[in-house]
Amino acid sequence: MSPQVEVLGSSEALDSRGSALRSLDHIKDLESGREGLNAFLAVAEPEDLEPCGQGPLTGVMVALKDNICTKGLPTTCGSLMLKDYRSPYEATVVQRLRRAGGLIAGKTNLDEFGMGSSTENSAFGPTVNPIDRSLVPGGSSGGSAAAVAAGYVRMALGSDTGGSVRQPAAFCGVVGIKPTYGRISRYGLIAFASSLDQIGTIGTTVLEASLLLEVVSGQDARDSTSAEKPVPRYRDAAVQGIEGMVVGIPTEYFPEQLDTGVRALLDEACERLVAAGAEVRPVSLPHTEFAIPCYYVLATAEASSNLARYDGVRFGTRLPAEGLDRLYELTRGNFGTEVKRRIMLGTYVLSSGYYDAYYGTAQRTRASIAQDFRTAFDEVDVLFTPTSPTPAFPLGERVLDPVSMYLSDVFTVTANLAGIPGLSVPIGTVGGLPLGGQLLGPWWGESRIIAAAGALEASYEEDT
Amino acid sequence: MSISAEDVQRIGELARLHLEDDELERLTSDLNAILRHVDSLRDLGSTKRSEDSSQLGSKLTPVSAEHVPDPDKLIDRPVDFAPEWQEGFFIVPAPPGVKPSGDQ
Repeated sequence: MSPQVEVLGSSEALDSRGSALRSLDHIKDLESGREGLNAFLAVAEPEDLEPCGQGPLTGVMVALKDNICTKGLPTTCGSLMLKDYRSPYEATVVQRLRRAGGLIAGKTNLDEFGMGSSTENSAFGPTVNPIDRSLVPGGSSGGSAAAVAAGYVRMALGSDTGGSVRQPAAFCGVVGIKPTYGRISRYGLIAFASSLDQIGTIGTTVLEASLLLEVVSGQDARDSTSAEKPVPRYRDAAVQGIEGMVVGIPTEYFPEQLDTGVRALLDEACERLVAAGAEVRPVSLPHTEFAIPCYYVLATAEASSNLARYDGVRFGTRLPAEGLDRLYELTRGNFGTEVKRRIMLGTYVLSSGYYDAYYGTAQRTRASIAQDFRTAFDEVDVLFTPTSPTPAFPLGERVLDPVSMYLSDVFTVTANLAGIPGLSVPIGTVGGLPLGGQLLGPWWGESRIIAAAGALEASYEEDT
Repeated sequence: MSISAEDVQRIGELARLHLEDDELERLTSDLNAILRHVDSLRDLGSTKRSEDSSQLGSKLTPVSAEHVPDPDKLIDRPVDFAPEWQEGFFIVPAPPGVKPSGDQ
């Protein structure tokens, strides 16, 4: 066991309730001042700091993306639609965190219902990047990534439907893991696109993100899509090394247009993997170019169905109106621009006459993308790619151009479409801004990508 | 494939979203831009590469601009494969180990 793991597991070295209370005051002070990041939509009160047990997270403060249901604290999804919502139950991940001794620090900002790549689509204002306040923190789990990068908390949970954990982790210079679909229970995660949604973890180091993953993973009777598979000790994988590992470099993820500075960092990371004992070889994932259109058909189709429940009768802040139809329309006016855009697109692609042309084609494309990965993992253990084509971009730069915003997910959506695990780890800076390298593994291969990320992280640490 | 403001208005009605005039104009423009990008999926139906790389790729249906009516197969009572029918539901055998509801 590494020294770091001992620190996390040792009750003497962990935050006491007193220091947890001071941390909450610190977060409140910083967030309410001029230097606030707007990373938190709600900060816990002292009475919320009651753990349910003792374990590997005893005394550790963890922030939760505000689409994960908590008792006591509000769950808004960054939307006016749920601005007053108090969940009557707690998500399975929250229960597991608390049972492991973790303390909930608060709820973090996000793009409304997880729809966005910059956290600018929150009804409660954008979160800014702690590295440069003029930049976005990425999204949609931008509040969680910013909270970890700023040092408010050591770990956070996010959700990743098309890259929403990995891309903000890359933009903020921290580690983000999206596990295999079914690894973590989605009970209590407010749905955006149910076949793509997966809760993920963010930490300042590979070890911390892995430990949090280990705590919240596992089958749950309340989520029939959670898998009956044993949970390995991911914290051990973070330090196990990669001697003999075969790392595939998919040519489609390194297009000619890639910025030269970005490419140089990726090349350097590959050299570090080789120096750590891995073999690197090129592979091909030929359907990659169709991933974004495929994703935006499937995700919006599922969103249009999932968000139909917000009508002021079943869920949602009801606005007074005469007649049921008018009530629905007025209430659904609470949705922001991006959510409306996606509901409209999803409704269109599912409409009679267009269903097979769009949704049917996208489903078949999804199967082809998964087959690409299956073929690649017959030859290699993990894949290494950029997490995003660029580092963090300026606030407001892409908010009026949805296609440009969607393309920032071009390297991350494939993992959600195939259901495989992905991880973003910092691999240096370009123009002073952090860049993330993405490791993709086969289904249930979290330990492999954690091992590769741990080796990369250790290599960079040796330089400092 | 492009869609008109009237199409967008109709989609809004289906989605129970009331759209103001300025929203309608912006959404029409945005959806057309997105659909131009999404339409690249149709390339999959015709490229040699997709046939080479996956059996599924060769079966992809190209996106068509034509609206082809395709009525729901259940619009008529499906007596051929579901002879028992009650109050709009098929009557199917109970799974093994489960008592039919009438026995409870």
